[in-house]
Parts: sequence; C-alpha cells; structure tokens
Amino acid sequence: MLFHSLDFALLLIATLIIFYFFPPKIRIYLLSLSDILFYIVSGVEYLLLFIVVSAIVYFCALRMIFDSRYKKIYLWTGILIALSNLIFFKYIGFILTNINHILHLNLLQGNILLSHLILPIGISFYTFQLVAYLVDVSKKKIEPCRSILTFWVFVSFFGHLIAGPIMRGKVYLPQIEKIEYKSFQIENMKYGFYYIVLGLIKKTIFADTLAPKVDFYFSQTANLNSLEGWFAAYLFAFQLYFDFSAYSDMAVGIGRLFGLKLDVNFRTPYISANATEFWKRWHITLSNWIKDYVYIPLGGSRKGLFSQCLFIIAAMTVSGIWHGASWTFVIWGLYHGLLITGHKIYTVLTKNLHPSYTKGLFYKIFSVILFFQLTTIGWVFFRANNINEAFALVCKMIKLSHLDYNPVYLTYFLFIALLYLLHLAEYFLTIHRKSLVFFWDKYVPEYLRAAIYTIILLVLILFIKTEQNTFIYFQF
Amino acid sequence: MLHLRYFKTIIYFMIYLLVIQLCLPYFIPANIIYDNRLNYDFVKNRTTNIDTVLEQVKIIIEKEHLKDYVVILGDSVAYSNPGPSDKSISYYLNEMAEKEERSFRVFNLAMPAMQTGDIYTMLLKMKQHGISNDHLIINIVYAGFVKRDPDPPAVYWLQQQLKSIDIDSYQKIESNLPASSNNEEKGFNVFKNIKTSINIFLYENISIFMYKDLLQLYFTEKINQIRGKIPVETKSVQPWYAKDFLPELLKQPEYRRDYADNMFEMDGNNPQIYFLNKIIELQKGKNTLIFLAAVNDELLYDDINKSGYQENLQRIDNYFKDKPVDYLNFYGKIDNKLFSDHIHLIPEGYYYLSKSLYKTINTWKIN
Repeated sequence: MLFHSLDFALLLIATLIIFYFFPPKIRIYLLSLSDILFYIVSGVEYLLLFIVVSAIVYFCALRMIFDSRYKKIYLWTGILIALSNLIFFKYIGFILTNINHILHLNLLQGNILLSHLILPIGISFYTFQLVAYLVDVSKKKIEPCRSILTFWVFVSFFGHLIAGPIMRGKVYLPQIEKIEYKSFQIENMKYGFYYIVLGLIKKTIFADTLAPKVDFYFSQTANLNSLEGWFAAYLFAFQLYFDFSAYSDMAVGIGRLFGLKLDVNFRTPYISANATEFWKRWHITLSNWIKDYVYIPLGGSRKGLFSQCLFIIAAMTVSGIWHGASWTFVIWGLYHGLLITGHKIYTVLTKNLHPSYTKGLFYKIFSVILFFQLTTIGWVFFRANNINEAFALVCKMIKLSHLDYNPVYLTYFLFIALLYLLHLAEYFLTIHRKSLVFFWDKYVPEYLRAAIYTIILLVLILFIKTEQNTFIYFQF
Repeated sequence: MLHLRYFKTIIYFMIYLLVIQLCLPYFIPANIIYDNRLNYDFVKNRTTNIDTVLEQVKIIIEKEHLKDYVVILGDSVAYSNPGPSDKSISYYLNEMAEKEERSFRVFNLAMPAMQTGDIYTMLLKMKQHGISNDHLIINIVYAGFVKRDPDPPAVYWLQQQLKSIDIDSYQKIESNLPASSNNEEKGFNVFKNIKTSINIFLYENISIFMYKDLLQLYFTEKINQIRGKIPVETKSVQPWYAKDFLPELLKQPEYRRDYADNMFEMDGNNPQIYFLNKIIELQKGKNTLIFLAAVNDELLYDDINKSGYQENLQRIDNYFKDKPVDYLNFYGKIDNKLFSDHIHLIPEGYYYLSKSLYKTINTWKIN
C-alpha cells in the first residue's frame, strides 16, 4: 500500500478517527489491526511469515531474561531466524548464481521455487529492527517487551514498516507502551501534515516526474556520451533523494499524527562535504544501525587506523549488500567504504597540520561540490542494470572523452542546478523552520494561508498519477 | 485565539475549494477534449472523463444558446477513424449546416470500440447532464450482432457508469462481461469496492479531479510550446489498397469473428438486441437515425458473399423495419475506393457518408 494512494488515505483516516475518538484502551489493538491490513495487501503468506518471525524474536528476547543461562542461545536463535528469513528471500538466488559461476554447477536450473520467489516487502527493514531489538535486549540496553501486541506495533507500525526509518527499542518502545496516554494535540497534527505534504510534493512532483527520464537514460547507457552520462547520474541522484526522503518524511508525519516521534532519515545529504558527513545525512537510521551493530562489534576505532579502515570498508560493504542482492550494490557499498576511509586518512594526515584553508568558506564549497560528484558517480552503480554497464558509464563520465557538446546540454545542466537549488532551499527551510513557523503563525493572514493550502492541494491532485509509482526503496 | 485562526483558515480553505468546484468548468479550454469530436485518448485512459466531456459539451450548448443540436454516438466509424477531427462526419455535417445557414450544431460523442451498451449508457449520461437526445445519430456494425464469447463485452467502456445508473440492465448483461471486468465485484472485497466507489465519485463529481487530466494535457501542451516542440502533423489517410498488410491482418482470429456467418440471435438474449431495444424505447417520439456501417466488399469479398452473412444482413434490416427510427444500411452504397481499410473510410468517404446522413437530418423538424 503506497502512502500516496487512496487505499492508504482511507486506512489512515479511519485509523486516526478511531484512534482519537474511541477509548484509548483499544489503541494498541487498533494499530495492530491497521498494521495487518496495511501489510496484507502484499500477500497473506508474507504477512504470516512476518508474524511468525516477529513472534519468534519476541519469545527469544523474553527467554533471554527469564532463562539467562541460555541467553546466547536465544540471542543467536532469534538473530539466525530473522537473518535466515532475509537471506532466503533476498540473497539465495544471488548466492546460488555466484556458486554456479564459480563451481560451474547448475544449481538454479529447473528450480521452480526459486524462480517464483518474491521478496517480501519491507523484509530488510523489519529484519534489521528485529536484530537491533534482540542485541539491545541481550546487552540490557532495553527491557524486553512484555506485551506481544506492543511488540507487534513496534515492529510493524505502518508508518515505517516498508522502508524505515529503522527504529530502535530504546526510544521507540516506550512511546508505544504509552500509546493510550497520547492526547490529541494540534501541534502534532500540524507537524504531521507538514511532513506528509512535504513528502507528497517530493514524491509526486519531483521523484515521479524525474523517473521516466532516468529510466530512459539508464535503458541505453551504451549510447550516452560523457555529458549525458553525468546528466543521467545527476538526475538519478535527485530522483532517489526525492523518492526516499519523501517516504521518510511521510513516515515521520504519519507517526506524528499518532503522537509517535519517528527518527528523521535525511538531513539534506547533498550538502555534505565528505563521505563521513554524507552518512550522517543520508539514510541516517541505516548508517547508525551499521555503525552500532556491524562496525563497532567488528572493532570500530579501538584497534588502530588500519583495522578501523578495514572495518569501515567491511561495514559499508554490508550496507551495500543490504540494499540489494547484486554486485552493483556490493561495489557501491565498497566505494562508499573507500570514500569514508579516504576521508578518515585525509583527516588524520591533516589533523596535526591544522591548515587554515580547511576552515574557509571556499574550501567548504569546493568540498561540497567535489563530494557531490563522487556521490553521483556512486549512484551509477546503484542504478545501473549490471556491473559492466555501470563501469562503462563511470569510465565515460570520468574520461570526459566523448563530449559531443550540444547547446541543449546547457539547459540540461541548468535544470540540474535548479534541482540543487531546491535542495538548498530545503536545507534553509529545515534550519530556519522555527522562525518560519513563527512568521507563518503570526504574520500570514488566514485568507492567504488558505490560498496557499488550496494551491498545494490542487498541484498535488494534478501531479498524482493514476498508476502510482512505487517507492524505489520498496525493492530493498 | 490560535484555534480561531485555524478555524478561519479552514473556512477560507473550504470557500476556495467551493469556488474552484463551481467555476473551474467555465475557465477550461474545452477544445482540448472536444474538437469536432471527443478526445479519444482523454476518455480511453480514464472512462470517468466522459463526464468531463459531457459537462463541457453542455457548457458549449449553454454559451451558444443552442436549441437544436444533433448528437452522434457510435464506434470508430462515427468517430471517423483514422482521419483527423476536421475530416470527421461531425465536422462535415456542421459545415453543411453552416453553408445552408441552418442554426443546429452536431456534437460527435462517438468513440472507437463503443458498443451498443455504451451507447445506451451514454444516452443515460446525457440525460444526467441535461444534454438533449431529441436528434440522435447512431452507428452500428455487423460485428455487434455476432455472438460474444464474451468478448467484446456488450458494454466496453462504461461498465461502471451503467452499473451505477441502471443496475437492472447491468445485471442483465453481467454474464456477457469478461471475467476480468467484473472480478472485483464478484469477489468479497469490501475495501476494493469502497475504493472504487470513492474513486468514481471523485472523478465524476469533484471538479479538480474531473479536470485533472485535461489540465495536465493543457499544461503539457503549453510547456511543449515554450520548449519549441511542434506537434507532429497527422499523416494523410491512406486508402486500403495502399496497405499491403491488410489482407493478412484480416485473417487474424480477432477479425475473423467480426464477419462470422452463424445465424444471428435476434431477440433480447443477444446483448446487441437487448440494448438496441432499450435505446429505441428511450428514443420514442424523438428523431433517431441508426445507420449500419458498410464494409469494403472487395477486401472482404469471400466473407460477405456467404449466404449466412447475407441472411444475417437481411435479419438486421428486418429488425429495423417496424422500429420507430430512421434506418440506413450503407452496404453496397459506398465506393470501395473510399475505404481506408475493411470498414473505416478515408476523408472523402466520410464526406460522402455525411451527405447521406444530412439528407435524413433534413427530413427532421430541426432549425
């Protein structure tokens, strides 16, 4: 069920009305049921699988506390079941294909089950949330959840189920446990609708408008020259950002409508000056997860710079594999691992020198521009149909050999500049939100506000497509 | 204080929406969806858009204070495929009327693949929109009488609309609809049905939804103009003998069905007859011309010269003999040179057809 569909609007409105106008005691049952309705659209069998895996994790976490002698067994049983579910549905084809290639076997031939395997929607997100929960319980960072319904809502709340944010027990579970005490607050409604509308604008006006152009370019990468290659990659960079951040914004907004504070996943990532900063701005909940449950357990920065760099590369490669069962994602993760490592080494080398130029605005702008090009190169691996196409296109982009300049390219790149300006506008909107809200509340007259709301509504209705485009991150 | 401001904003918001609801239809460039005939793509892609077309036609009628007008309903022949709109029968009929300084106008609401069930539904929809059916031209084709299996469905485009306006007729022919088109209703799926109903309500009644596709078309056209994109000029319509592929194409099963020579069932069990009866009932006391489109008898020589085929044609003629409508059978009356394929005509053919139709209109009491 897509956030910008009529189905979801109906479910959301019905759930909200019952949530606030019926006795608060039924809220947990209501949300449990709404989550089931939300997920059942993707298939009853996948819902059952999700419920079974969640129930196993729930019981494993409880047993860890009640039967501490076998704590590790319960921990690893839970983790293995959650991860096996993910590996089976997401990676089995990839693994067998590669074994076939290496050992010259025919493991996939005639395997009807594998050919019919469909990736259950949201599996990567809920698996990571379940694993984080088990680890946090085992480390006693959180208490295990006693109520299975509370746990179910924690894992499956429709606001974040399909594409995150990946929520942690420490901040999120207490909110759900207190769900019946949430009162109707205008502020929450305002905040919620603001984020939902922002997400809808990003998705319907920008991401979905860019999508056909990106598909067009990436369906014929061999025919693109250097400049067209860059243009295609820039377009995809913005399409992906608008698409995924739209989903995340709407998730935050939906959560707020129910009084739940979901984590923000994006903080205008294309203003990052380096890879380390980028991962603090892009898919923040995933990078935090990777840091806490892969990078730090591997050793983090405790074992010297060389090991740290290796751990970073390993962790980012895991992040790449998490996105998809394909070598393009592995390369993309590895590439970002190398970028972070490169920045780490650069920081260490320049640490003692304290060069003054690093503090200047020019340096900052230069870094942002440079790093945006590096990010864009990375997106080619993320979007290309296969590894050969990706490398061929990146080579063309870097070499700048077949320029074949055409005056129309100027319009293309002005368009990219415009998209970047919009990104900057979002940044200023975010950092000045409080003062803008104050100005809006105090100085903008009601008739003008209503006119702006009306225009936004009309534009959204005009842009929403009949056949809705799914979100890119739903495939992960 | 703060709550009062929210309340005031909501009131203003509602007022703006109401203004848009009431005024939008009058500020729309109607020629995008109606230019001598309805815009086929506009309705094809979202059938609820038929209400938008009808609303705009009604506005034209009101703006021009038209008292007498003729409405054409039918399939691709009445629509005048494959030629452009300024070479369609409605264009020619309007031109003829203008030349003779007659004040009536012709509106062409036919669209390709329209079946008699769609025509009947269109008549009901016209009534809803206050468009008169006093003077009506309908085209039918031989294929419409052939037993359906269940394709093509007796109501091809406007099934949902028929269901909501005349549930009895819908239920009567429901078994003739392909499984794919009525699955949703048969299955126990309350949620999907609610969703469908809300969608239909929005797109049939709320202006911004009704005009959404039209506005998108309008803005796309404007943007293309700004970008200097010139619309591709329509190629001239080729006559059938310039299309070598046609004989082979007509051997395909979907075309073979259209010229079957099995004896027609000429009672209410045949959806074609069922809907024709309903149409004739609706048209009692009004001017109605039903014409049977001709076929290219050189291209389809073997088919139409079968005795079964000829007997079926006779059955169609017999059916209309005692009906209170004007009936024209164009078989053998159109020169083969005027066909663009087996059934459609080149512009000169549509001009010839229009002249014949105009003669019948001249017999009606119309200004």
